[in-house]
Formats: sequence, C-alpha cells, structure tokens
Amino acid sequence: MEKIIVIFFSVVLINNFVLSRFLGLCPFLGVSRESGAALSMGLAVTFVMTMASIVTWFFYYFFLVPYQLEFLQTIVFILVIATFVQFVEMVMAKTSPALQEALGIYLPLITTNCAVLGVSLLNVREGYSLIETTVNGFGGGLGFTVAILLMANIRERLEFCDIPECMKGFPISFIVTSMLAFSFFGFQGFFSK
Amino acid sequence: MGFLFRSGEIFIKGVWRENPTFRLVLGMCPSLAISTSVVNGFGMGMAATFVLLGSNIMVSLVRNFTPSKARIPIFIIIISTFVTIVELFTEAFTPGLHKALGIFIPLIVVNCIILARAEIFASREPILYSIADALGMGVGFTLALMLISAIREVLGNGTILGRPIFGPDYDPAIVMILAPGAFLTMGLLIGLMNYITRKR
Amino acid sequence: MGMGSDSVILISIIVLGGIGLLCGILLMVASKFFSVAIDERVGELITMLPGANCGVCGFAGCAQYAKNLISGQSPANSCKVVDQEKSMAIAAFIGVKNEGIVKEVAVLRCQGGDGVVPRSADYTGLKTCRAAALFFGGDKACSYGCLGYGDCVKVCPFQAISRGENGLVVINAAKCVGCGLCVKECPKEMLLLLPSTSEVYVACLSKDRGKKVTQVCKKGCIACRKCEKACPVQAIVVEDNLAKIDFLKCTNCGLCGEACPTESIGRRY
Repeated sequence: MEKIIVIFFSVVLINNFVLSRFLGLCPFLGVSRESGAALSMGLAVTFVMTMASIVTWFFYYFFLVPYQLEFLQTIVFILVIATFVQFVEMVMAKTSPALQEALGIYLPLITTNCAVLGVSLLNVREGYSLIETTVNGFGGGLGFTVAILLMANIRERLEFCDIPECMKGFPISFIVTSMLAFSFFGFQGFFSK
Repeated sequence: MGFLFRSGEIFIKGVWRENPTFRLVLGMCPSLAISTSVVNGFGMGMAATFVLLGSNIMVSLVRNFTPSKARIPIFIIIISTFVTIVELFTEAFTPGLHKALGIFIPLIVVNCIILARAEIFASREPILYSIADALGMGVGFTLALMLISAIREVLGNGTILGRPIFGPDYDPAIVMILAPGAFLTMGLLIGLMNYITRKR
Repeated sequence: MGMGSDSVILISIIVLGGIGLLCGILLMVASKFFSVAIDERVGELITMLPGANCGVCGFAGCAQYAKNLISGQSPANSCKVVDQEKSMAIAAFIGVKNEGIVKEVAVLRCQGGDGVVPRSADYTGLKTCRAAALFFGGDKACSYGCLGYGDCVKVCPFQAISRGENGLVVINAAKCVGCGLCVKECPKEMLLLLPSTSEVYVACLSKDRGKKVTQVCKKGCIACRKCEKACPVQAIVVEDNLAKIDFLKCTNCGLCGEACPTESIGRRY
C-alpha cells in the first residue's frame, strides 16, 4: 500500500510526466491555449494512459514474456495502443455523442503521443504489478492534467501582455514551462527519510 | 541532373529553412530530454536519422500499395520495426549510449518528425527525394540536438564532449542539465531563430 | 537463452501476426456494431451555413446547428448570420416554414474618443477592457465611456470591429451580421444591436447630468430633455439622466439629433 502511495505522488508531483520527464510535450504545447480545451485534453489523456497501461501490461505478461519476445514490446505496445484508442473512439461515437463532442477530437492526437507509450514502457521496465501499473498510468495522466491546466491559465493571461515579436508563441511558452518546472522542483525530496 | 538539384534543395531545406526542431517544432520530447551532453545529442540524432531513412525509403516504396484508411497504422508498424532494430543495435554495440538515452530510443516511434515526414513527404514522393528529405531532416535534427546539448553541457557541466573547459573552480549551473534549463534553452533558441529569420 | 535464432523468428512472426490479426478483427467487429448513421443532408446543410461557428444560434458551431435542424430540434431562423434569402433557402431545404429573421447591426454608444474626453490616468495594467473597467470604469475622465482596448475586436468572428485611431472602436456595418458576441463581451455594455430598420441611436451611456457631463465630455448626454420635446412620435424619453429611444416607435426622422445641444445622438448609415 505504501508503495502505491509513493508511486502516485511521485508521478503526479515529483516526476511529473511533462515537467520532469519531458513526455507528452506536443499536446501540452498544442492544446494549452484555452483552459476548457486543456481540461478536456487532460481528461482524455488520463483515460487513455490508465487504460493503455492496463492493456499493455496484459499483452506484455501474457504474450511476450512467455515466449521470450520482450524485444518486440515497442511494436506490440504501439499497435495495441493505436487499436485500443480507435476502438474507444468508435464506442464513444455510438454510446455517448456528448462525450464524443467534448473529447473526441483529442483521441487521435493522443495515440501517437510519447506520454502514453512512455508510461507503458516505464511500467514494464520498473516491473510493476497490475495495481501499481494502473496507479502509475492514472497518476501520470493526472500529473499531465495538472500541468496543462496551469499552462493554459497562464497562457490565457499571456495573451494580454506585451511580448516581443520574435518570442511570441513557442518561445514564451517554453520559458513559462521552464518556470513551471522550476516550481515543481520544490517537490523533490518529498519522500526522503 | 534536375533531380539531383532538387534532392540537394530538399536536403538543405531539412537542415535550415524547415529545421524540424527550431522551425517545425517537432520532436520536442527527445530534444529536451537527452540533450544533456553533445555525445548523447549526436547519438540520438544518428539513431533518429537511421529510423527516418529506413522508414522514408520503405514508405516511399509501398506508397502506391497502401490503402488510404490504413496508412497511419502501416507507417507506425514500419517505423517501429526500424526503431526495434536501433534499440537492439545500441543495446549490443553501444551500451553506454543505450543507457544514457534510455526510454527515448523506443520513443523514437512516436517522434512526430518521423511520422510527419512519412505522412507529408515519403508517401507522395519517389525514393530519391524521400532519401534526400530523410537525410536533410535527420541532419537538421542532429545539428539542432548538438547545439542544444552543447549549450546545456557547457553551462551545466562545464565540459564539452566530456572534457572540462573551465578551470576546476567553475561552479556549473546544474539547473541547465535539468528540466527547467532544457525548456529555457529551447525557448531562447527558438526565439533567436525567429529573430534571425525575421530580420531577413 | 536456449532458443535457436530460427525459432525466434518463427515465434515472433506467429505472435506478432496473431496480435495484429486480433486487433484487426476487434476493430472490424467494433465498426459493425458501433456504426453511427449520418444523415447526408447534414453535410449539405453545413455547406449552406456560413461556417463561422459564432454560436448565436445557441449551438456549438454550424455542424451542431445543422444536426439539430435536421432532427427538428431547432427553429430554422436561429442563424442570424445568413441573410434573409439564405435563411429562406435553408428553411425550404429542410422543409419547414420560415418566420424570417430580423437583421441587426451593432453600434457603439460612445463618442468620447481622444480630443473629446481626456484620459484621467496612465494605465499600465493588462491592456484589456475587462481589466481596465475594474478600476472605476477605466482610465477615461468619463467612467461610462468606451476604453478602446478592443476586447470586442478580438471576439468578433467577422472582423467587423476594429480599434479606431481616436481610442474608440469602429464598427464596419457592411461586415457586421448582428451576431451579438461583441455586445456580450463588452464589460461596460457599450455596444447595442440595432434592428436594421433603425438608424438613429443615442451615442452615450452617461447617467450624470448637466455640468458633470460637460466637464468631462463635449458630446455626452446632459439630460436636458430637448430631444423629448422635439420628437413628433414620443419615441425618445430621458430616464436616469440618459436619453433612450424606443425603436418600435422611432421613424428615423432625426429631429432629436438636430435638437440635441451636445450632438450626442448619432445616425447609423
């Protein structure tokens, strides 16, 4: 139990996927202009990361490890993730059009996203059990959501500031991100004894 | 001779005018994560170039046979095959690099540069131009990585290529090696690129 | 390791092929069970709509409006962006009677630009109307006036408003379709939607009277009631020290504007 709590808090705050591990930067920078869209993106990413962690865990331990095919994990994982997201999209379109309107457009963006594949690979590298994997995936998504919400709110206010022409857009976003990463540094050593 | 000239054009475009890191702003994740030393930057750049080359060639070869709806999964499978090759190769022959790059070697699969080039370029153009594009983008990416790594290594570690260049009393700004320094460097470099290209 | 390289290749092919087949079958089955029927008329309707996604119809975008039109959940005149003719065409397309739309145009109820109203403060905060308005109505001597930082400019999907040279915003009546987004956005309610048949409007919102107004603005409404007396149809009354026009009664004769001593009644051309 203690290990699960440690995993959860470290992946949300200390080893935040975006601000500390550099995963999921493309959607982070792309969708963080508006806080409503950012929240939707964060929720979609959390959902996909959690489910992807679980599904890839199964595929790894039931298909790859018994036949000593661990080296195929990259190919199998990305295949499974892409299939799964496509499947979820179809189910969502049919069962909940409202959800489809809110989150649907973000799902294809998340498929080829380093955060999702990254969390799946990290899970097997750390040798997590199924519960630990689920917590890691969920926490990772939650950490992403926290970061992207902070970023979106800052960028909304940045719109009204006098930024030099050459720094508009990506450069200032990166610098803001570095400030965010700095502030998250304060969480280092959270669990030291 | 026209096609040689066009190939050269495509190559140069990938290095400068459409540099994937600074102008297209693609492939941010590995650019920031592993650029802590010039050696790592070069290694990652070479790995990505190899995958880019392989995938561009294969995609260009099969471009007339791939059904439109299934093209993204097919591209991903092709790319992931080459990435697995690179993974196994670095694990066997360059274990130091393999350890330093860590999880970002398999993450080359979802590196936006490679998928984007396959989608935008290789699936429409013949092999020679696809090769030129792959080499151009790969070289551009490698040079960009090396630039970022050089800045971060010099300021954050006081070394270049592993050799200390300041005296032993130099107190490096460790933050440059860590996450905030990466974002800061990238932001300032893109801003600088914008400034230079706008002045022209 | 214990496995010969041949068997590794064989097993890899079998396992990968198997997983691929599994995924393919799953997606095929899913696409059969979870297919959603789309009415082709929706696509056609979307092309007839302006595609501005401004939200005036009450739906999130033209695609949504089209879907709701087809399913009968929306009256056919909710879209105010199209002109009368197009609106009729849309109604005819889905086979309903159209009640017709009332076209509206936005006007700015202020003439207090630079030279008419002085600035009362050197404002260095966030350069948006919403922020500036929090400070006692803004950095103009008249606290009811337009601040000109352009929140309405940013929100207009048709680029019908722009920031003028004199510190006010200028509305291009030709581009304005009366969607009303600017009216909602302005923190001081400076903008008003006029029915397209109305041309005369009161270009001031000041609730002060007499000397208090003339001290800060040359063109403000001083509540002298001369317009009330001049109007032949009693369409204009002064309430709360501000003249108001009832557009249902107004005949656009303009006598009120001629009578006004401070020129605070404007005419929209």
